Amino acid sequence: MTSETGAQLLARLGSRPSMNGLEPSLFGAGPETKTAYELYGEEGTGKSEMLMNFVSSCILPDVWNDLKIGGHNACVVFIDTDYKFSILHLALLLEKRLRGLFKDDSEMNSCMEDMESFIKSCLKRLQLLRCNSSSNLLITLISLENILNSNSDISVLMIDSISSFYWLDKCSGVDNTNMNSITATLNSLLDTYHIVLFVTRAAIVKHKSKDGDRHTEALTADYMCHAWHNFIKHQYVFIPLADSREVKVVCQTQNVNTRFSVSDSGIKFK
Amino acid sequence: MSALRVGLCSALTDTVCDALRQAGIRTANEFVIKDVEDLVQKSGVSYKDLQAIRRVVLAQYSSFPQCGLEVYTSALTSIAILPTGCPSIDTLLDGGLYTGELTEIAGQTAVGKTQFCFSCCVSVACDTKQSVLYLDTCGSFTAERLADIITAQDKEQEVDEALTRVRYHRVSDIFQLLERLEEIKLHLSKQTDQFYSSLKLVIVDNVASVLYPVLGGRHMDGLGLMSHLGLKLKILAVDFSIAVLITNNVASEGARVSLGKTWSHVPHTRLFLSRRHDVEGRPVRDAKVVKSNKMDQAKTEKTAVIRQDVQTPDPLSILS
Repeated sequence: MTSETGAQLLARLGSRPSMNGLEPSLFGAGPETKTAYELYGEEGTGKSEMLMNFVSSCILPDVWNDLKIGGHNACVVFIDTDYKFSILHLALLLEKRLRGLFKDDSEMNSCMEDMESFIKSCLKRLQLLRCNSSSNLLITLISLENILNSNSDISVLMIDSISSFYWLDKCSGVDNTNMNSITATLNSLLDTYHIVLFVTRAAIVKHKSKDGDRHTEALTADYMCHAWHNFIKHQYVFIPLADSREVKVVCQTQNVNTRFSVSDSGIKFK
Repeated sequence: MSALRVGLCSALTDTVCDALRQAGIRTANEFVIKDVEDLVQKSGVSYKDLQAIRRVVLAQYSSFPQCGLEVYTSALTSIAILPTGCPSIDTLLDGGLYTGELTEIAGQTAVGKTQFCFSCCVSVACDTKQSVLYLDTCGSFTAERLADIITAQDKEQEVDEALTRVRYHRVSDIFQLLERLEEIKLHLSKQTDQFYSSLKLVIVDNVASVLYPVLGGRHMDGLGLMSHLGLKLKILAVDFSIAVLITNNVASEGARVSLGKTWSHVPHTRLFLSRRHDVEGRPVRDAKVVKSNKMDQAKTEKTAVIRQDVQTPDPLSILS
């Protein structure tokens, strides 16, 4: 029997901001807590852009100055293992999203000064961590307990991307030991704190169908350890469409088959 | 993976270390994933000591969370956009090379990748008066060319001064390259050398020529080294706010960037150079952004056409 402090109990049982309504074209009513969602795809299919889109929806409030934004007013922990996170890009996305809500320019200009400070106040709800090895990632995830205990507004954890250290581990002889521990740690974090997990996984390995059957070509290559693939409840596969700039998103477990394009103001679903 | 060693914290004494080793715990990783109460049973070390060690290990080896607002304000002050010396490519890249990013130039042989690097080199050393470090893996660097480009811009008197801001290293394999990068990081954190305190651009020309020899054969090791190099370059760019520019070859007759799927994910921005003849039969270069984290797709489809014209002061055009 493990003991816990009063603060831990509150953090665990207290209600964290709900994610209902986040990206209905992908999650329907909304992503479920205690669940791991994986975004899988090749280079340049918009996985990271999709995460940025989620971040902006999470950290924006529902209403600002009588404007209905439809955000979630939640805190996000973002772990960047790819060293690609751009805060300026996120700030720009937030600004464009807000601009799009105004009906006319005069209305917008009167709010311009407020907007800057408003965006800054939203960015406070983001916690950014960078990890440079799988060991570093493992220990960082374990230490997340403290952050999750002290902040009951954190509803979402994101990792971009989980496959960054795959070859490094494979070749340094660590193989799957760290990845197994990382999976177990994530699992217990989700269960204990009732948060949602979004991770991206890059298609860095060619997928081969083992049975040699060419008709049932697999959409994805499950090259990570078994524990990881069992841990992922819903996998969204991003497939670039050759003839257009759109990307198709398929999730078999959720019955999702939609397409989106990346425009100036972020992700647009069809 | 870090070993648990005596002296990490006061509770981690020789006897405690030995007791943990007996229980099969040697590294920080193995330690933190175990339940503390279980460890008390197995190693016989007191609960209080183990908790103290755990706190120190977690603090020591975990990454520190940064608040989004802090990251934003520091980004606003630290990010610089470096001119490439080629205005049409600057427009294409949304201003130029960004510090904190890894930009890759890909194209076939003799399309002008090295010339583009020279051009960036000159414009950073001459116009912005910052230092440039040039890591040359295939022996294509010549200081005379840099001097020529500066002279062609009518800045002859600046040649000596500008060239002192450029340092050049010849590296012949991936291990030397990694070693060099480690050295750069060391210098950057020491900040004793004036050159390194104004270092804003690191160029690696060409990554493919050091990576090819280690790929194939025992394929896996090469992929490990490749990921390692990619990560190192990005850490250098992000942690020290430096623009890193690399060149890469293309595979399958110019359709794709070489080095495969693992490498394709590495750079922040990728610029594709290709060669064709215009309607009058003169050779021109097309530049196209094929990967970017800050532009929408419509923008990345635009191409910049660079002419080979001796009359223009555009250094890429002059001598490509």
